Amino acid sequence: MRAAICRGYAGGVASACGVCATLTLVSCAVLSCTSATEGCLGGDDPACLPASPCPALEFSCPSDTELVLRRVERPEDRPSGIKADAAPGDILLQNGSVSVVLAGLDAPRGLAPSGGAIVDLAPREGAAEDAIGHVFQAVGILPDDAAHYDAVELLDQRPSSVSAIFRGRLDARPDMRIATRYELRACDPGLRIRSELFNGARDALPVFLSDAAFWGDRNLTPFVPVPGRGYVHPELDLEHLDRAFGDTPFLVADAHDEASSTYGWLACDARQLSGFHNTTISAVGPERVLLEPFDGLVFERFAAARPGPGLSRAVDTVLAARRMLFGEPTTRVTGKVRAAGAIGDPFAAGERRLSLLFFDSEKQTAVSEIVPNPAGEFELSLPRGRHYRVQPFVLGRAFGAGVEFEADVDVIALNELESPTPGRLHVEVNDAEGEPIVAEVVLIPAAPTSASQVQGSVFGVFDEKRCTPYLGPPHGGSPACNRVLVDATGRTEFWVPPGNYYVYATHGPFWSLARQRVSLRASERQQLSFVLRSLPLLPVDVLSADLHVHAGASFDSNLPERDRALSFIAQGVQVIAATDHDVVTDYASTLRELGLSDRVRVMPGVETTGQILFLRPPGSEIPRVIGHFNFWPLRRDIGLPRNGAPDDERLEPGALMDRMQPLFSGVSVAQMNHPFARGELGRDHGYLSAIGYDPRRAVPPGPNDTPEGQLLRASASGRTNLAFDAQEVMNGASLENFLRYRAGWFSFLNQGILRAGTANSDSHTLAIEVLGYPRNLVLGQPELRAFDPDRFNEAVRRGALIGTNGPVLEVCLKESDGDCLPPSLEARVPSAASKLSVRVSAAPFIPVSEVRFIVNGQQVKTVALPEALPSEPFGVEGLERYRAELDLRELVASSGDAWLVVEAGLPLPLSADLEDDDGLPDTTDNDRDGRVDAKDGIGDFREPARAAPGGAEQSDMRIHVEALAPGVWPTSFSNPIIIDWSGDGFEAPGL
Amino acid sequence: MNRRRGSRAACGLALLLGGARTAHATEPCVGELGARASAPASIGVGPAGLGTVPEACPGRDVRLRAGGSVLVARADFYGLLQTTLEMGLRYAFGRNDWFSLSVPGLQYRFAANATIEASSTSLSAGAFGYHHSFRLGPGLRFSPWLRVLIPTETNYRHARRYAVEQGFSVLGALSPRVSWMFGLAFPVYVTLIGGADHYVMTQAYVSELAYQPWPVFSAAAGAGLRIRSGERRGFEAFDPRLCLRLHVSSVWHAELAAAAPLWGTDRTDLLASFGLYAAFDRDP
Repeated sequence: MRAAICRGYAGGVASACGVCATLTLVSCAVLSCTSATEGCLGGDDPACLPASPCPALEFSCPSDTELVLRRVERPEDRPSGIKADAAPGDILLQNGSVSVVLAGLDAPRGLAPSGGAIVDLAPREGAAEDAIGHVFQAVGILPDDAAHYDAVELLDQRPSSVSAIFRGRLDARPDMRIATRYELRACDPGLRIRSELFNGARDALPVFLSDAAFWGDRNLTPFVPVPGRGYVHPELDLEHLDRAFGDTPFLVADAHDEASSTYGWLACDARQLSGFHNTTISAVGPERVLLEPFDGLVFERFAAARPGPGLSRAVDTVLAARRMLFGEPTTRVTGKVRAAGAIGDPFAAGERRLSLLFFDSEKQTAVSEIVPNPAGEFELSLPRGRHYRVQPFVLGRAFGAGVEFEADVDVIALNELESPTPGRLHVEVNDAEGEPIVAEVVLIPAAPTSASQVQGSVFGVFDEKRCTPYLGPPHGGSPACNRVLVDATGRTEFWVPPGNYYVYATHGPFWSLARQRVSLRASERQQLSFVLRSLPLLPVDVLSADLHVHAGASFDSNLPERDRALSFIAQGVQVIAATDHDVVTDYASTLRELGLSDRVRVMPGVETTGQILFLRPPGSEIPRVIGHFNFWPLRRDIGLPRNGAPDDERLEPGALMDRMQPLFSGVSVAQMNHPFARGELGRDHGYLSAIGYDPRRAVPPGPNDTPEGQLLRASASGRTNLAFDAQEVMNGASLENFLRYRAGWFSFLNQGILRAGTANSDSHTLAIEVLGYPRNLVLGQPELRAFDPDRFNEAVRRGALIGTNGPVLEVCLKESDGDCLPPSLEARVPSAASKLSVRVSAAPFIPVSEVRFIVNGQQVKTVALPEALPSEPFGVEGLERYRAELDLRELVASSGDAWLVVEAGLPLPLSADLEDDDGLPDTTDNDRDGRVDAKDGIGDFREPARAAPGGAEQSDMRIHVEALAPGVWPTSFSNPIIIDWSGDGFEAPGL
Repeated sequence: MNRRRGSRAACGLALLLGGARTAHATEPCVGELGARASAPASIGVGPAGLGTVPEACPGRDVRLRAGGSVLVARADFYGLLQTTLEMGLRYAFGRNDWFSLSVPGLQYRFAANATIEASSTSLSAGAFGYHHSFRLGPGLRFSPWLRVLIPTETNYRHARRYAVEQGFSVLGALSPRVSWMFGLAFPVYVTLIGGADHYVMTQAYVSELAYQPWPVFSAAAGAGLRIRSGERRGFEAFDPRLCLRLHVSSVWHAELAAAAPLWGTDRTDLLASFGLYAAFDRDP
């Protein structure tokens, strides 16, 4: 090859200079220095083999264990855990300590543009479960810079090791070659990894060769033993990434629940890892370098996987590895904790009950964390030669001053530590017949206990102000934040910080609410009983449905499937679209185990979540993604990657819908989620914000280079980006989002782009976004036991539904013959005598103070209700708040076709678009002068539902709603009634 | 009318180029034009001056040169800033032969790939060269050379780069104040890494016209053309260039040069350099 190049070059030169040609050949001969290629740094050897990683590491194990290296063949190969994602075609490496699953080449996951990423990494000890999202290699933050592997080779060197070697390039830089060797040896408690990068491009490139561990969010939390850090990291701003970079001797992560694994990362070829971290992603590697053309870079590391809870097992392994690599000595620390005034099983409930954080006192650096066993005993390793302080944490709060000690010998036994014992609450919830019911219990501080006295966090992260009292990690299973699930036994018991509380019991917005006040001391156990009653609020043909729900299978949730399933029942939701991010779930086995299969119907679905930036809408310099879409019903197949969800990357909505079509298992629904949601880490969550859609501008007749024109871009099959059936008008509790999404929905309706408007919780947790707030009341349905998914989905597609976070709205177009036609996207032809029938009802704790009538986007009538709440919020009376029949012609002029939407709830705040002229409200009337102007603070949208519960009793009519569903502003809305006066087809009014 | 205008322009150009004296009445490398005023702009993209056409005239001087380049590729979210500081020496040992030496200097580079940034300060390469100049005829010289890279670059982590370069230039005196130069440089680079070797060969064509209106000042303008062979072969760039020189005395000279690569695969936006030259023996 080289000789040919030289000859060709010399020949070319010869015409100009014979001497030059000769000299060129001589130069080639002189410079040529052939030797065997070493690893993959040379860049052009398709069969290159990176060296075995981390040769200095030698772990021992009691006996020889069998090494496994093969393709995943069946679902049983998948490690346990809700995050586990192994599918046939993936590659399984296994020894007695760990199972590792690497994505098959044609089955990319998440941010990885190809296979080759770590998708499962689970210890095989005890009940430890896989908690890894995915880990892939990248050299920068652009999609171009992620490793794209084209080939894989399995290297079976049993009994010593098994390896998988992936070779490829950077995704959009074919000249940048990368090869990664994953190796597992018989006794390794983790994976050895070596990546070799070669820059064959013409320019030098800044390179951060890293393992990018996609934690997701609300899942594994990264920890670095660096002063001032620990679990808390600088804000990750992709535009100013430098500010987040830092060095650490190792990285560990855990998910703060009992069954989760804990992970550790350290470099084998350097004492420090460089990188950045937050709860969504960590990236660690050697320091950033400017990689010259034809130069290479190597990164060797070890990724440990150990059982949790707590960090200590992973830290122990990492420290053992550093001892082998760098000769750093460790001290083994043992000890025991005694519970003062113990009641019951003093250390049940794991980390939330008690954990110990070990600080290097001199460097003010957290080094490790351990959860004592049920007997209060603990044992862990720490770097030797340092002075430490051990700090107990009880229910998310540091307790006491801690104990100091010197770690200057091989083994040290600490004096017995004392931990306080919190109070314990036993709660029973029954219905009016005395039968136990599934419910949720919520605690709110009551005077004189203040929120700050009982607030907690997960060592500084997930520091939710609402989590008062802190009963457990807000993103995890029950008890979470200040909320506890009551299962079908109707009973629960949990630890509570000493204090005074209001204790609520709820079964959703269509049941009565109960509340008691309790004063609880340390080491005291109290028992509370509640009775809840079903309220006759829902019409008989209505099913209550949440069509956007997440649990632990989503990368950004850590809620166990059991708790999520219980929350369906506890909130009285009857139909669920299970829409985890990029994975199909159905809760079938969990509901069966709970004996609750007849109480809720779950339609398996997915929320497609583009991660790889590719979309270049007009005016956008930065590539984007298309936001999130929900699809249901799908077939769940655990024999497929993502349980049957498709690879949804780099597809516009129309093409994505093409890809979804063969996957549906009945009448399908495609829903555009949170259309104008703001993005996170550069990833758009809403399609309309991604393309910059302005609701004041019309969608053109065909695709063009305007943001609005993007909506009509079509897939190969002709499906446009508007080919969704429904769009979220209400998502979660945010009123600002409701107003923004509503503006987009009204814009479409005015243009005749008729889509069903839905209301969903998008709940990822038990307590932060509460399931069922809001939800849909889907009309024209049989009772649940006769649930017909096709009929249900037809109704959703048709817009036969009401969205609500509390108030129940019944709207129909009443004809003289007595027929009352509910909201629908199908045009109605009213008569001169047509009436609009409206009824509003709500549980006594849900305030409703006005009814709004909106025609063609304009509010044409408002009815103020005399009483927003009945006198007894915990009773069963005063449900109906408004009932009327209005002459349709009073609301809708007969001069042209129109659409009509009815809303009920609390008044909406005065708001306007002052910040960015995008047609969406962004500023509220904060000085309450009746105008929204610069004096209000441009871009300052103040959610009205910010009242902190537990303050002045009953002074805020939302106090109980706020306790049950924080941030919710009671509102319901109907889907439109489409009015075609002349019967010649609906003619949209236009913008 | 047009003919009269053309005649006036021709007269003006003749006056500008040197009055009544004709091109064959002068020789390059001597007299007013001197070695420095007729030298090619010292600007290029290769290490230690490789890929840059060197002086066609023998001389004895030392130089201190600072160079830099800027590349901003907005569409790719990529940027690269390079600066170098280096010293050099030319030593003529006969009427037509000389050695050149580029002493390894300091190089600073900063690059950004989106928001991943990296910088390096490193030792650059040096080069040692042998040059000869032939008199082809009245007012015309032909100067071939051979240079070898001194592989002192410390910005490579696992690789090492070697290079040799051959080339020639033709220098013609058009008038006592105007000269024209054409040169070709043929550097061959090989980078060894992991037992593999990677070859790059560049053909750099340069043509410049130099004009010295006053003894203390001269300017040169021209263009370069670079074609790459070996790996990543292709058209590299067309480089329009401008060079301004201040001849403070017969010893001290200063040079400011800039080039703007266009069209090719070299995305560099601007190259610039500033050099100080001190002749320690004008006429060996």
